[in-house]
Amino acid sequence: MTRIGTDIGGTFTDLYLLSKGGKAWSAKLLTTPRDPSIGFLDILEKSFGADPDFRNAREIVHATTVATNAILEQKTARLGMITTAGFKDVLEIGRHFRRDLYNFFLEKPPVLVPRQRRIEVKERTAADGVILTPLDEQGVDAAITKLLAEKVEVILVCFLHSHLRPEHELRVGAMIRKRCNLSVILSHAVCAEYREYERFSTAAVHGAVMPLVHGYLGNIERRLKAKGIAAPLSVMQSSGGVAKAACVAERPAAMVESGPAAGVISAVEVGRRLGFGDFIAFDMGGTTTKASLVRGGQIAIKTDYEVGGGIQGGFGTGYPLRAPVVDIVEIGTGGGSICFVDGAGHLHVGPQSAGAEPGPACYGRGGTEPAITDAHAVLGRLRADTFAGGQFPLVVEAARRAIQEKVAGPLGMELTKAAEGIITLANAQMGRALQLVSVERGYDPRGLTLVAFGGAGPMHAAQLAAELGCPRVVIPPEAGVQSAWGLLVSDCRRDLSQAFLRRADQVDLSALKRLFQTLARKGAEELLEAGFTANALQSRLAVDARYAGQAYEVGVELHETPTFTPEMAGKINRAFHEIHQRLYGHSDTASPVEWVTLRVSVTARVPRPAPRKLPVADQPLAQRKRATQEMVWLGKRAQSPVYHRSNLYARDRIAGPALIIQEETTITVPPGVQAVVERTGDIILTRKGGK
Amino acid sequence: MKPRKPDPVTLELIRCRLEAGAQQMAVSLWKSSYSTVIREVLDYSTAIFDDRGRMVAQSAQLPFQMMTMSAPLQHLQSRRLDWQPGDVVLLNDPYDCAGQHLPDVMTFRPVFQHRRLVGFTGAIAHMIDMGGGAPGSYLATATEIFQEGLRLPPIKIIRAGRRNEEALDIIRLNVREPEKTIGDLTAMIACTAVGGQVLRELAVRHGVGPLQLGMAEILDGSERLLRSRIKELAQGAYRAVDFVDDDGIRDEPIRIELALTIKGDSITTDFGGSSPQARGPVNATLAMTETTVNYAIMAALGRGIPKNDGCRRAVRVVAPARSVVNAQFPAPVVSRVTTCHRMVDVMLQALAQVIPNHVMAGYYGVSNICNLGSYDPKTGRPWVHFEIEVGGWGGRPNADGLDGFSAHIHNLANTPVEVVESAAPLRVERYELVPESGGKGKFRGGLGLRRDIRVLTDDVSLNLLGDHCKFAPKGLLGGGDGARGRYVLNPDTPAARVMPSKLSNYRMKRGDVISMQTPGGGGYGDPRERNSALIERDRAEEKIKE
Repeated sequence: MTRIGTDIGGTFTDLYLLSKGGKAWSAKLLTTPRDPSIGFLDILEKSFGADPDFRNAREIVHATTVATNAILEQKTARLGMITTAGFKDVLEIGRHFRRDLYNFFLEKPPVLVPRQRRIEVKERTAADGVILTPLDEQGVDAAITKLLAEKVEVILVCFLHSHLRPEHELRVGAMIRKRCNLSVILSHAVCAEYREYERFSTAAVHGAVMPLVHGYLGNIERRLKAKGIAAPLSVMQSSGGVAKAACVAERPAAMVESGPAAGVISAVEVGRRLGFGDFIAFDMGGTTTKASLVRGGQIAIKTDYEVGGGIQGGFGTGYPLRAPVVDIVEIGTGGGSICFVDGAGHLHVGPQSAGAEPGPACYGRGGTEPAITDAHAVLGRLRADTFAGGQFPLVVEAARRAIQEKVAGPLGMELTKAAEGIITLANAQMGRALQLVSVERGYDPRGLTLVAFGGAGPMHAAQLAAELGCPRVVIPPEAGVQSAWGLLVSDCRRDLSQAFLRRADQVDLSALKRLFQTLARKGAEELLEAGFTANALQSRLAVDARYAGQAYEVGVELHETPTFTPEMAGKINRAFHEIHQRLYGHSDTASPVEWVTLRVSVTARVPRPAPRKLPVADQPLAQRKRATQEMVWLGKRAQSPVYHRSNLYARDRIAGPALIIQEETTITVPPGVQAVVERTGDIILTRKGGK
Repeated sequence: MKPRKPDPVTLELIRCRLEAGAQQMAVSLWKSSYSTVIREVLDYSTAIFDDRGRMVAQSAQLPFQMMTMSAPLQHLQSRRLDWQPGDVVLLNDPYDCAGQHLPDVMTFRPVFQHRRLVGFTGAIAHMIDMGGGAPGSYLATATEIFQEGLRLPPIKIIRAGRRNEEALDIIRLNVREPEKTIGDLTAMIACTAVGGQVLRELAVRHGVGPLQLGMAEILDGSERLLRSRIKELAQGAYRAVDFVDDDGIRDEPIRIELALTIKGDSITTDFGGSSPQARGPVNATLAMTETTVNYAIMAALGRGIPKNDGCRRAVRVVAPARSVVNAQFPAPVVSRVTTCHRMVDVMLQALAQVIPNHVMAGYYGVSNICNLGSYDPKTGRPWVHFEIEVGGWGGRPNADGLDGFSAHIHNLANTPVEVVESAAPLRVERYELVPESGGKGKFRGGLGLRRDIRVLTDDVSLNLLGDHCKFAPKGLLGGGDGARGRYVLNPDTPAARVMPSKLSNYRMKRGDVISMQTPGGGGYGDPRERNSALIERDRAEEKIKE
């Protein structure tokens, strides 16, 4: 049965289709920013021609940036909030910490609920869950009346300590539903964890995108139906798991990182078919680079994410969203990053980007600032006639001029030396992102494989691997539409969490088991409804733990079925000490450990497509060479062969320097590096003489 | 053979790696520390230095800590300390070794490659308590540094890889929360190793000689950039005066006077005319004054310039000895930040005469510290809660001041109410913006904050270090002043009582409430020019009354 994955990114909408017979087809169109669902339908139309069985598609899996863009562009819902008396400004005050230390002109992201629509009611629960002040129901009624008069679209109910004792939030939720059919978000229901600002913010972020996401998903489903397509729509979540569109609509901010998450999941699948589990997924596009570490075939999840916090994000930059998000590091270096020499005569690369318009100088659209892509063009590492699928020819002369005038001239360097320097710096910056995801998480990148994709990833991957000491690079055949493909190989997943806060040596294991089962059952409901059978489901436990007295936690995941025996508890604690040692350089097995939050994930495995079986070529490689081109490496010029990936077959071996071009990307094979084509269609780059 | 200066590409590679290394140290420290001061309040910084103790890269969470570590490190160099591989030195004393105040502990690690000194890594962090006369070591009535806590000269806390347990025991015995303090020190020591690894890798890759030349050029580059910016400014001398309310001992204003002279490509800041050294702990040493001046210069002129010790060369600081801006032993200093906040004000008031479109009006200008502490009646163990709050930003040339947000040398996160209440016998009763507290102006000042805390147990020690309760944050270019701050015991009750802004060991009873109301920012420009849409928005949000 046909399955279709579509990924709507900022610039491109990608589609990947797998048909019954295992035949694959992909497409790329420009995104339609005003209404991305139009682009979605257009690209489906296109695939119609490719697969007559298309109308009977079993499933359409979707990733999109609509939720993220709504936040970034401040096109958020009209929200109202009912909160504990004395605390209506929690959402506005936030943590009042700033990232940009020396900027007098700093602006905070606008508060998602303006002050006049944050209404206080008398009620109060203490830190031990005791109710100090009963809920003032008259006050609640007055608050609802006021918010209805304000014509809010969603009401958030956010009380202190509700993660311990949700009665008051539940009661207010019921009172609202009795009076109107507005959407209601109870803070404990979207985040049962402590730290009030982060919990209230999580509720606000979900609320802010809720009407938009409902409208968007509704539009798509309606249009699909109108075209006679009955396939159910699923959506990728930031956790790397897929869920039915109707379920994600309940927690819409779960899709903020859906595209990048699909990219990482796709890399896991590539690793699985090639038989390795420890690697870095490396995705370099036009404006940013994303990297994520995978260990033992398991993706890493973070739970301290902020939406709209800019590229580097982190504490104090955006809107906290407490939800599992694939741990991806993003930096502002991409093919379009601009290079410049500052007033002190020092060279820098980025973070400004030439974007798509005017783009790097070599695009020939009026750009005069040199970008990383221009450096590749100057060094002969791009094909002028086939760049970006041949949509437009590259103007190499413009690239030479930009680098000469803005970099080589001012620094007194020879042109190609300056261009090679730019690439070295870009690699160092991306190396930094890769180091962030490996060394800072306590892993040595040496020995890890690099799975490279994205428009610019395969151009940098080999040199980056050499820089980091990674023994090999894998470039999957889908490298240009990797996330769309990843959507088709992702499991379905539901995550739940609950504040727990107990000394590890005082945990009542049978109570823990009951809590786990309650959460697991809740998670399973959704997947059972989606048509999975109970025995296809897997429930896993993770614990956020810390040393007693610490204020932040580290996540400990149990990758097997929990047994709730003292052995299991011991295993979690041992793993905690190990992770603490790995992350922070010290641990203390004598110190008491606290379990702060329980996390339960329920997954249902989706069957994977059979891997490709590329035949061996019936023609020598030399005869399949497309052209030769002069390339510069370490100041030396050499005529180098150019191949097209569609002409490569299993066991083909190409010695660098060489170029392999394919739709939407170019693989650079530097001197001393060998490219081998696997039966799976993956290309593996290794250093000659290396393993 | 003389090492060659690295080419532009290598230089930038080195710079990026050093900055990343300092950041990596900061992440390591943050994540593994124990006390809420580091974990939630983020009162710490990390840095990497060259072999002469000059700071080349820093990850500062708090601008007040920018460039604070090179003075003590250079002091250690001049003492000819015998650095050995595997050593870590710890210190805190402002008079013995150019430290900051006693709660700010610093750790330094020398980094060697083949027994050759490559450079240093360092961390500074605020300990939740370093002993002395009040919980949190903030004794508002201190008149000598001896009352402010444990003074530590440079101690090898790690000697050739071995922990100095005796020294740690001395600390343990002298502080109120030994587990947290020792835990935080351990995290600080560990993070210097993280930075050390980065520096060593660079030494291996580029060679020690070229790396050191590279670090020198990074400093020179920042100096050149800053000097070129100064050169564009109108030459002349610009004066400003502002006041700290009092020193907590004598009810007299403290004068901060500045003459800022721009000449050629350098700036001189002369604080002659400032009040003599105070009896109470609001004194700043010269090292603290230099840090504050450097902050103001870098914030006003340093956009895009890598922040390192090279920037300090274009700025000269003159401060008369035994004055409140150059205090001498044994003056108490724990609340030095009060005077430093006011130094930021006079710096910006002086710079406003040169670059009015690049400064802001007076901000909340005080660290609003409120420490509570007592002993757990069941276990007999002491507990300390450290509250620190922010207020309104000053109005700006193009926008209102931010409401309730960290500004200037201050940059701190609050502690979540749910964390406060689960960690100490306290209940937060309200946490909100104070309407009407921003100074009027074309662009109004930001609003101050109010945070009320009830104590749930008897005999809790209350300690306050506030200011701007008498002198308001100033408006600029026709803007009105911001609201003053105040501290009220049992607010909104018949027994309500305004407390002095500097207070030590006041005994609160079970059920008492302390209300902190922080200052709002001053306005910028003539209020008559204010856009009516902004007035409408403020009314709708009840940030102003009619």
